[in-house]
Amino acid sequence: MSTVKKLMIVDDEETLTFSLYQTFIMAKQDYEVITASSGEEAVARLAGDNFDLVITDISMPGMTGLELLAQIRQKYPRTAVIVMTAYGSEEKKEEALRIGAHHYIEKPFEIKDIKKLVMDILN
Amino acid sequence: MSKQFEAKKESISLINRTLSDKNTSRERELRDLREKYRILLDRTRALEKVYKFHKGIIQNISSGIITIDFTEKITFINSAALKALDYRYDELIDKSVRIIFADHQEAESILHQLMTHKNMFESKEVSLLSRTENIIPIGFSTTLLRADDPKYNGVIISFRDLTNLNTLRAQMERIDRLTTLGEVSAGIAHEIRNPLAGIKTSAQVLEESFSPNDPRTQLVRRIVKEIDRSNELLKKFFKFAKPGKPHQNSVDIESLIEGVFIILASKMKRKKIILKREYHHRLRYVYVDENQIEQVIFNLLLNAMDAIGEGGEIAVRIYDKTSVSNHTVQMIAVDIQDNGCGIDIDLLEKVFNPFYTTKTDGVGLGLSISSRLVEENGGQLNVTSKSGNGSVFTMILPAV
Repeated sequence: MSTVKKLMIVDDEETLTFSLYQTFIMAKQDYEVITASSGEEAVARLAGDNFDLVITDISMPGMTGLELLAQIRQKYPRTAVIVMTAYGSEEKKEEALRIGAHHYIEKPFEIKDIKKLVMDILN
Repeated sequence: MSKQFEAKKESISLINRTLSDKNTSRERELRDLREKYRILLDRTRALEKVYKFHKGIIQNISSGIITIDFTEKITFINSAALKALDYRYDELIDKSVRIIFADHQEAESILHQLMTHKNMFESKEVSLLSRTENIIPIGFSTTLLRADDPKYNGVIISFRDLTNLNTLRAQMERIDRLTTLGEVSAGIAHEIRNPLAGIKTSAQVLEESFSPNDPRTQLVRRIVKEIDRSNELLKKFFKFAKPGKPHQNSVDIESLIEGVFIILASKMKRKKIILKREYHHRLRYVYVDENQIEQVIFNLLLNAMDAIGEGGEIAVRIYDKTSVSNHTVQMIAVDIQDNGCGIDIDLLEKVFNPFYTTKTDGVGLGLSISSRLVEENGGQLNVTSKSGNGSVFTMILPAV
């Protein structure tokens, strides 16, 4: 029996969080998926729970994805983070990787790419 | 006998004394005259020096100076003014100043203010017309001229050629405009890509739920395909907004152009395009990002090919463009000239605006991205064109 991996999807774009939720719920691997619509909500969810992976957008109202990433790096060093963004600049990518993101993916992405990425990180 | 001799001796001595006195007086007069002459000569020379000094100032000053009398006749014109207007002194002296104005109505209004109301101007901008009918934008100021000789009374017009300044202004305005438009475009692109990501992911989740033979799979794939197409356009917006930092190196511009020719060779052959090269082998190394400038050359050549019909001509020239006022940075210019339809003068600056296009299948980002890329590499992209007479795009790049 494989261990259930716990992942959280953080984005204020509901359509994206919903479709990613469906993707990972329906996946062959055993994932427990939680969604959050803001950085603040993600921080609250992270407290007292062990997440293996957080997939977060950068640009959100209130706490940004990069601020969330910095908090995760500080408080939950074992949690991996994938940063996704609709920005097309190299600087954002460099910044995310410098703060400690495991990966950076540009929106819109291929569903198979993000699935592979998640699998690679969690295995 | 002795008495007679004494008397003669006395008279001779008297004559001698008289003569001697006269000689002394003449010598004194002559000395005075010589002294006066010397003083006069010194003063004339001093005056000549002052005159030459003043003339030197007037003739060597970079500003154009024209004096006119109150009948609007040109009474003096300095070298800078003659050079700017491309006239000889005798072609303008005693002629009406109106002939050098580009716009007759504007000339009428300015001269009316000067001649009738004696209202002077300060830093006013107007266009002059050279002998060869080139329009020269100038900034001018006027002062009343009160001369000793009343026939020279009138007005002093001093002006500066604003051509270079206007080019610089236009470039600065373009940079400002493109930066603002870039920021707006990037903002819009970001806002559109977010929902696109949601649509694409949802569509792909849906696709996975259908069997490959299900006709709905095709529909979903079409949705994804169209999203990808939109995304490609949005990526161009980002590229325009932030072209990416150039990785500058010494690049052989000649080889870079030749490389692009090879890529475009079959297309050029199909259109029977005549290619002319005017290279300057001594000037070939520029300090740029090879990929970025290759993209610009590619873009400019594609545009040139689109502008000309079958059998048209494209000329590529490389030459020194080091600014006279700035010897510190050597610049190399690359002209890409076509003999196609040309661009209307009113539309010239607009060609660098994003989304401006005359092509049915274009989005109008090629030249705006090219302009940004050249600027990022420390250069300039300019265009000159006459409707019906083709266009010249000039890329000025820093030399190694």
